[in-house]
Amino acid sequence: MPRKSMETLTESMFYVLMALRSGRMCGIDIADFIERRTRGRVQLGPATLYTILAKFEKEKYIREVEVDGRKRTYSITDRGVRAYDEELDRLRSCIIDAEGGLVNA
Amino acid sequence: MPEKYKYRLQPCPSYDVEGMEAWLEDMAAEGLLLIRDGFFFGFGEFLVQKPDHKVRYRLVARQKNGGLLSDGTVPDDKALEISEDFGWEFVTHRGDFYIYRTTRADAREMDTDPEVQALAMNAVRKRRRWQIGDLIVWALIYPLIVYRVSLVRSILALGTPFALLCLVTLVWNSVEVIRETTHINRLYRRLKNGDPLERKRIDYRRAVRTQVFRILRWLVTVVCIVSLIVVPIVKAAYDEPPISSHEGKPPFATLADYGEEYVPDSFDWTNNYREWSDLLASVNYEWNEDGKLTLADGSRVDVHYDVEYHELRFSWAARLLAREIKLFDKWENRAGELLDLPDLGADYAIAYECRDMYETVVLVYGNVAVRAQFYQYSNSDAHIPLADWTRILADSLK
Repeated sequence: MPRKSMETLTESMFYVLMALRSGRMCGIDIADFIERRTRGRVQLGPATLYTILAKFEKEKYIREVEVDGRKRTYSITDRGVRAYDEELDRLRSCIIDAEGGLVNA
Repeated sequence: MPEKYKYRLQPCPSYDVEGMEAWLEDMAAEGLLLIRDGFFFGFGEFLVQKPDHKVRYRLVARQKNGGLLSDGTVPDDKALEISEDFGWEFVTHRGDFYIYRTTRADAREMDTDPEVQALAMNAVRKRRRWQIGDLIVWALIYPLIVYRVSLVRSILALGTPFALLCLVTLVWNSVEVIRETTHINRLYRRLKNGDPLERKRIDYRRAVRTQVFRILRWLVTVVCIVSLIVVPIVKAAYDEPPISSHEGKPPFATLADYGEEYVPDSFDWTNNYREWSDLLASVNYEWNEDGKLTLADGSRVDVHYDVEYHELRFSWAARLLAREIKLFDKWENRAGELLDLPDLGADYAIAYECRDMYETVVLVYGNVAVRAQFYQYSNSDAHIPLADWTRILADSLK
């Protein structure tokens, strides 16, 4: 069955929710958080970041809570928290399945 | 020192994201920097500077069309701010894409996640679907509505060569729209599969040929659209000499044939005709007469008489034209119930009343199709019955 939109998050999307799960942030802070957390493995470009933020706002996963000149601060919504938790559970299941398979092999 | 500018023809279509990025970077490596809003009719305007191999250009899919508050030619503030925070500046828009540039070698790429880039490209894909829908409307429904399903009649009105040119232009534009849509779909699928886009080398010779064809297509399209509007108006205004100047008899009955005596009216707007030849029909007439007829019994009647006459190359085209005329009259001229006709020996014969007063007959003899309209007015009961005047007309056509 084809995956519906937003049913599975991409890695970039997951990390954006992770960043906002830890607190309110503006766009460049989100990118810095992700780069630090992944030790440079995941880097978000501006077009990628903008597309994700726009998509998440449309899906009501996040909302803009403050605009101070050029600085726009976002926070995650309850719906966004649920989406993040579901994705986390899915990833944990993948790891458990993989490690269980290695044990049984 | 005054700034110098150079112009370069865009070597690939705007939807060729990889080609456009490669071309703009090639230009930067030659010392040409695209200026803000720097496109005009397929030419890019560049500021001459020192060659810079660090310059990168990236095309980003435009998410929305313009609306009331924005024409969609500039990204929204959020996009601009985020890009500038990362060292990218917005340069201009081109087609469905915004063009960004950075001169910093350490600036991270605009798009770092192909699947997210696919989401952005999806907005362009959806707009393309609408564009194909528009094309279908213009290609099929618009001519059907404007010409009231009168394909043969509209070809004769426009002239077969010009009608063929319009058809070729329509097909050419359709092919281009389909090519564009296919390319965008292909890009979308690659991104969705996680494959990033790559700047490819431009074959400049092939690119120039492509662009020359593109410019030619645009010119031909503009000529067709303008001509479709202007030509019928010009023809109607200037191409109708008076009937008195017509040499010889036309190939159908005229008002003089319907009575003992005929006196034409002297108004400027009537008693004129149009005669022309076409590849599809060698002889064509639009004939418009008004006058007073004296009948055999001495009574007099005022008559308005219109004839549309066509000698087509093919008898099937004549029959098709006759059906188009009937349908057109039904939609445009409120053609009523069918009237009884005598046997006129025609391949096709039908009569009805338009607008409750114009007796109208459509006849086909072989490859000849004729529509004649008769309106009679008299203070007495003087009247030429439908059966009589149609018989006179039919005899003139055999």
